[in-house]
Amino acid sequence: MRILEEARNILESNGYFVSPVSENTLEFEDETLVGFVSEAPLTEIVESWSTQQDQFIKDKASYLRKSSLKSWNLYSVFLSSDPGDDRTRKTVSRIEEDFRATRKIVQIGITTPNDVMHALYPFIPIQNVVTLGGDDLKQKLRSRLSMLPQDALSALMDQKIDERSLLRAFQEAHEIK
Amino acid sequence: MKLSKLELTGFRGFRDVATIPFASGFTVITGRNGSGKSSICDAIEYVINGQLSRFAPSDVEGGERIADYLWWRDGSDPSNRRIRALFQLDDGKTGERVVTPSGIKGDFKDELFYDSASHPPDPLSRLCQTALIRDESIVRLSTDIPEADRFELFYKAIGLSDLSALERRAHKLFDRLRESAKNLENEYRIRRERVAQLISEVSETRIMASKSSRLDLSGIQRRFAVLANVSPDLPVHQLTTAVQRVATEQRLRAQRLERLRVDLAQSETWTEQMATLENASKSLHGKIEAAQTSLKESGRLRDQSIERLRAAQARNQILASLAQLREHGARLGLQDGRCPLCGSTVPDSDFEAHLAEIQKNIDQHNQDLSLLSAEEASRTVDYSRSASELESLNREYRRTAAELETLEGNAHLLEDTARNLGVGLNTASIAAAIKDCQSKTNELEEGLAELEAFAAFGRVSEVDKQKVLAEVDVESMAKQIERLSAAAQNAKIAEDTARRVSWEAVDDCMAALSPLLSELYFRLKPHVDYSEVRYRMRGDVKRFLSFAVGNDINPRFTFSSGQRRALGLAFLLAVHLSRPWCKLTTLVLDDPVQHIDDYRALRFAEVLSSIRQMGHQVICTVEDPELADLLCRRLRSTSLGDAVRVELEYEPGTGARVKEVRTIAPLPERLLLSA
Repeated sequence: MRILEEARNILESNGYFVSPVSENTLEFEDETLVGFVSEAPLTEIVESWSTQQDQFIKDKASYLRKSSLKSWNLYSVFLSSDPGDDRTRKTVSRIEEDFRATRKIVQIGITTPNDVMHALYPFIPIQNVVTLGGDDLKQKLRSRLSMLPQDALSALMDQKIDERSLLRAFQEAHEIK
Repeated sequence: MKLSKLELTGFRGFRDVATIPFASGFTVITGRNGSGKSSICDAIEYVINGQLSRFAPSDVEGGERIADYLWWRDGSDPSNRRIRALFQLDDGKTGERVVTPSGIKGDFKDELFYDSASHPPDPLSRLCQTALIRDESIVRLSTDIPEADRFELFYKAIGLSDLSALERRAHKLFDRLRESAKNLENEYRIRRERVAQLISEVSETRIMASKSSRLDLSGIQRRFAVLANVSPDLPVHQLTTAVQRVATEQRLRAQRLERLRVDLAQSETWTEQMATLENASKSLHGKIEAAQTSLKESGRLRDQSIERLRAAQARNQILASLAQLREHGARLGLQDGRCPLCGSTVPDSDFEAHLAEIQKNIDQHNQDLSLLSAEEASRTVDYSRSASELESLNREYRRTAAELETLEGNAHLLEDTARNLGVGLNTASIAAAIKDCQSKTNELEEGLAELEAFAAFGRVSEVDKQKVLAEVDVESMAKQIERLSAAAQNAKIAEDTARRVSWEAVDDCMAALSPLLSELYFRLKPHVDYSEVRYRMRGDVKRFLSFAVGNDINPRFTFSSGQRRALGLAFLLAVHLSRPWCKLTTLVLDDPVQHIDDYRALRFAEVLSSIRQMGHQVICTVEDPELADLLCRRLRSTSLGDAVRVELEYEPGTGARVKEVRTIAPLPERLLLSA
């Protein structure tokens, strides 16, 4: 899987303008935020994330000055297929919790398009929206209970029928059988 | 549908009119404690549902409830108090809903909030429960609530058709049918016992009747008509009654004869006893006469001594006066040779002699009086003893006479009894009569058995008929029990199936919701080590919903407070986003980021931004103004949805008020990539 290409697809499909900057980096923007995505080995990310971030801000400084508000919404996204270990995960947490200049996202151990999607979650819409319900459970129940005498079943399903009549319906239904 | 404006007056923390505009994209409300943030959330809930769910109706303190504190309490005109909410409907129109202390006003129908075909029971409560996320509800309704309550929240929020009423209906029906069957079975057992009794009775009657074929009925009738002294033409049952009566009389006669024989045996001792008593009576009579004479003499002697004593006592007074005179005379002595009492001239020697003589007479009288008293006492004692002896003899005489009379009476009674029973008063006669009586009784009892055999012959068909009727009755009852059991079984099937269908639907919904929950959990990232959350649904009678992370670890017991809140938010947001029946697309969060660190607060802001991107309206209150600014930047004011930042403050005396409303301008669409 080509990670950067997958990231580009996801960004574009979620309304971002995307522009490749180099073989390993692309930039993206929408109405409210701008940022870059960089794919690199984990060691390189750990070593150069800060440099990359600063360089991005420096390169775009003149543009960012045009919108002081938008300059708050800068994203640095670092992606790597290296799985890392407990020590590197700690390093990754530290990078992500550094609030200086840009919002940092570091996703390691990427093997599937879903992993890329997970990395980009913070600025793309909710992906797994579902609409629940809609089944007619009463119809389903009626179908499941089709083996019962129909008069008794109808009396049970019709909540307007009082308990005494329901009782009679169940008893009489069996008598008819 | 979205909320576009809220005007509130005299509600909760607001005394004066406050107007809060809501942007279609997002609204961030900030202010310090007590500035009215929660009052606005309360107003939104109250204008929709007419109640505040964060206060239980049963929550009473000192007789006061939340209802007493909903509206401003300063004594001003209550007609000014109201909440007015404007909603932007999907068709572009505006809807107004007003609530005052007297209730919800206006034409805004409840049904506008939800889909009338698919909403759950009590839809407005469900709507508020899933659209308003408060700090306390994150704790109460998310990870910290018991599994069953969490399931209940999810079950009601997703708005599945409610089969629980049908399930309860079937359950009640099952109970009633089963109860009826049980009662009928008890009755059936009683009737079955009666059938068994009748079968036994039929057998006995048949056996008895079979004996009658060997008997000569007319011979028996003639024989027993004589014995019972009735006509031989009587029907068998009347003859049987007469024979039974005579047999009873014979048994009674035998008992009385037996008693007579015993008494006669005892009466042999009575003659001796009577002779002894007569002798004793005669002897007592003599003694009584002697005692009477003695008593008479004693009486005479006692009376004499009393008389003498009285005569002596009559002189007492004179002698007492004489003693006093003598005493005075002795004390005074002669006065100039004259007696001090009579004045006569006497010599000393005569005077002293007279005094001595007087003293002698007095002493003699006292001695006599003492003797007479002793004699009178002795005579009185003698008289009492004689009287007592006479009384004792009289009592003995009366007892002897009574015993004698009893024995004589017994002897007479014995004679009367013998006469009444028609026997002589001797052992041989009585024994013969007893023997005769027993013989007759035996004969009558034998006859009765024969007569009963004839009677049984006539009763066989009747008992047999009763048995057949009882068997038919029992058979009918058994069929009725089968019918009731079958009907109960059907009701049980209906109950179980209703529950199963509900559970299956919920399972399906939770399975469908799981990716969304996972996504929200991933986005909020409560825990560094656990990037995925799973759900577990269990229980047959009652359902339970719980979460698990990592190797089946329950986050409720392992996550920190902030982490649990983040997971709780993920769950509540997932429920909020998956309600198919709700038309109001507004998410209201009341200070949701307490106990959450900056990093997770930032991720939370990004989640809200993503929800905003879906077209939902987001209203969020926060205390920290910097966090409010962060939300304003991250939640994105765009050309597709505007945004507003409202700042509240507390004004002493008037309560909460709107300090500032600031529109968040949309950001420039493109800066970099289009350049």
